Amino acid sequence: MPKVINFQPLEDQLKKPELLTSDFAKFDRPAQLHVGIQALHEFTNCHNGQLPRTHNEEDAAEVFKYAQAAAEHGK
Amino acid sequence: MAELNSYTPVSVLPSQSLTEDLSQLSKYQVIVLTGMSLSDQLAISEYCHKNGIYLVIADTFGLFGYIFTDFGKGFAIADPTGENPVSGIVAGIDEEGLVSALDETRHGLEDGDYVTFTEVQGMEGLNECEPRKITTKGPYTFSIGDVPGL
Repeated sequence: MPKVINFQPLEDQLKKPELLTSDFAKFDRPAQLHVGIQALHEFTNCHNGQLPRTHNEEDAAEVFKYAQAAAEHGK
Repeated sequence: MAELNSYTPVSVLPSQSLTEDLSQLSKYQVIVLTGMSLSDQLAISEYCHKNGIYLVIADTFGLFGYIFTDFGKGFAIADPTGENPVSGIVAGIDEEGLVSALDETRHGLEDGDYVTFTEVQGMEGLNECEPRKITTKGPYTFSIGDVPGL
């Protein structure tokens, strides 16, 4: 029997994502990634499309700041 | 890039950006995005969702990545599990729609499953009937609801 599901647009899912757990030993990892990737997008927004430099403390701290903001926003 | 796979037509969109004229996307049934800014993704997502265009967004960042899908409202999956339908032998169906499986065989069905029948004698209206939703009453019996006039 066919199963009908309703998808949501990106805007809605960003706020309340339906996350797929692929590794049940790390079940909180998808939520972390959701926050982390939003932080990376925010960084590229403020740095003209550039991703944070590797092994760079300053960039890392900035991404972390965005991640905290995204996590708060998601609550 | 077109040479990578001769079965996939590759073309370049004439406009400067995808978002400056979203209506250029209307001719597609599915759109896959990668390497786009979040604001562009949101603009395209809104347009696609409103216009019934399937959307997939995927990106990788080193060892991490994500996939987002939006196939719109009312997306029907014809075969959710890929499993073959289970079949069994019916011993009897009473006038209240209670179906009993043959002797000690478990029917193996769950609430909400759908069944149809073939080669039923005495209640031939059920043969090849439209799938009926069942509720299990026990391991050997389930109900197909009312069976008026059958």
